[in-house]
Amino acid sequence: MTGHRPSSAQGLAADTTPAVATRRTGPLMRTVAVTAVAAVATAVVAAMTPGTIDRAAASTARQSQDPSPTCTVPSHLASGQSVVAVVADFGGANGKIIVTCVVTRPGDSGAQVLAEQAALLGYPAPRYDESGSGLLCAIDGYPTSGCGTQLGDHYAYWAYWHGGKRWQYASGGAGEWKVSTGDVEGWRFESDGSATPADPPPRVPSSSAALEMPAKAAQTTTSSPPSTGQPAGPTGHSGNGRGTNLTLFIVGTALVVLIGIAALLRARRASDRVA
Amino acid sequence: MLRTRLQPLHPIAWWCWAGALAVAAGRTTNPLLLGLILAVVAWVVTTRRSDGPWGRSFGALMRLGLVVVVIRVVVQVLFGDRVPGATWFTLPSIPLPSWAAGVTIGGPVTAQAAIGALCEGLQIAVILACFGAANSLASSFRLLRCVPAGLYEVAVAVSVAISFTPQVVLSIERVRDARRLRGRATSGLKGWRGLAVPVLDGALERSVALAASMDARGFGRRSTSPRRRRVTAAATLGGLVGLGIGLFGLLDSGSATGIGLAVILVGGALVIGGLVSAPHGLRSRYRPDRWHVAEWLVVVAGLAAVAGVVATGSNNPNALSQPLYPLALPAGPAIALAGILVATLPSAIAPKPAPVRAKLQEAVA
Repeated sequence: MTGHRPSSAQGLAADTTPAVATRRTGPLMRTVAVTAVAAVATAVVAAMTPGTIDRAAASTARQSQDPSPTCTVPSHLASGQSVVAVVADFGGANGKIIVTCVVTRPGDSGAQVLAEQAALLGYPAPRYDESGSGLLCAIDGYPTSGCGTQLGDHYAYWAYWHGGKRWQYASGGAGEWKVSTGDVEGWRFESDGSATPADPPPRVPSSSAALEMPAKAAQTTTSSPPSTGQPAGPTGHSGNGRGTNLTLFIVGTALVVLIGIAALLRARRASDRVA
Repeated sequence: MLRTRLQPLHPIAWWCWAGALAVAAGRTTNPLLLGLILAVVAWVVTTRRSDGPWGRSFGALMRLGLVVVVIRVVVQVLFGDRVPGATWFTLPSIPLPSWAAGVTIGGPVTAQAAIGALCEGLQIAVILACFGAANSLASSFRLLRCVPAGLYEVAVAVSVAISFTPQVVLSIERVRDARRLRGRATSGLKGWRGLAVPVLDGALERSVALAASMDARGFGRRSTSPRRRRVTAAATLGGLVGLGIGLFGLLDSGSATGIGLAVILVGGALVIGGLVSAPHGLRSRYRPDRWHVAEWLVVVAGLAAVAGVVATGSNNPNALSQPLYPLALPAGPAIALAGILVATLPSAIAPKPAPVRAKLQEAVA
């Protein structure tokens, strides 16, 4: 045990007199301990109150029997505005198919058009991959969880298509695609897709002429198929839950700040002592 | 066996505690939870770190974490995917040919892109801070003494891996002192440029020298037939690789859990086989570290943080990530917050480390 310094340091460390190492509970330490206990108590009480843990309300996709849905083009468009048909095919044998006419400005991206569609229909905003990759996870909160979930060789995902003479599998993301007049944006949920252009396209005609109907006298901008009685906003947050969440957020932030400051103060005091 | 007053906490207990917090941090991108983990780790480090030179590892790795966050955000802004959302500003963009799809240069920078990247960078920084905390709280030399005899077959790698970080911190101090004495810059870009090469070079050299000195002493094992040693070494090494891959599979929430578990089991069996078949020499230990109640409590405190985060993940997975669509304040899941708070307990449970520094300087002088 003579060769290298560390072991000798170790041996010496253990030789220090007991007097040096007696525990000293400073007033700061005591304050922090009390605060921490109080905070834990608060957090536990908050956890007991109902509505803290919001369980996502399962929104089930209703089916539509309408064979060929269309949307109605608004009669008055400002200059520069154009109309793009957005198709959302929820897949499955009886999945609903929604066609929406969205008014766009030049340079809008596919993602903006989809967000506009959600706003028009009163859907929750489209959900994207949390990692920020731009991968679309859910339209109208469907599916409720997961994003392009892999099942063996296959994926359950929202496939992105561009309409026209025929449906074309998009080669890029919706955030990069700029729409123009007469475009058709297609989204189809592939419950068992291969994530290649071989996946089935939306089950409606691909041309804007077949999807967009001219406005009649008193009609609204969008007409989704008649049957879809959407559950009113599957956002799933009750007012009470949101209030508790805010309290918890404030409690959490206060904790972070408190413990952080305590650590900083202590570190500074320690370095003063050494100096 | 009672703890003597001056016995520090078992280094493996500190590593378990810090590893548990790193696992908890790896499961969430919620900045509130990450911030709390960082604060908790910082508090425990400031109250219980050794005043030996390796005690500075935490500060050094915090600084490294800050660099990681900055790099992550800058890369996202310049080259990242163009994430849809609320545009903050638009950088001039260069169109790339279609074969480079997925890579962009410039373009609109959205709040979602920047905040998402910030949270991911913070996650890596917090994991780095946990690693730094383990290095600050537990002496790597004590840890090295706990390595079981079988692992000494791969001991050079193990001892370099364990002692490299504290050696870097030691090296920085030494090279800085030398530069200061020569009147050279010790801070700023100029100081760092002069620091980097000698620090990395010196730290690796000292780690290898430590391993070599241990090898020369035979790691306290008895000699045996070279063939048996080779078989043992192969089993241990293969098992460790399996353990590493399996752990990655298990901790990465994206990959299938079954495969990770299977690889871990196979790797674990190999390692145990290697350890059992390794020759057990009679080793005497000088002031051995013992495992008392405090060690168990520290490990449990770390596991509480993991349990809180995992429980929140199965209850309400959205609370573990920063909401981006739409942008909102992060959730404050009570169970996860409480679990992470429990991890502060080691600052009271663990025995205060005995002062080392004065004695060490005496010894060096």
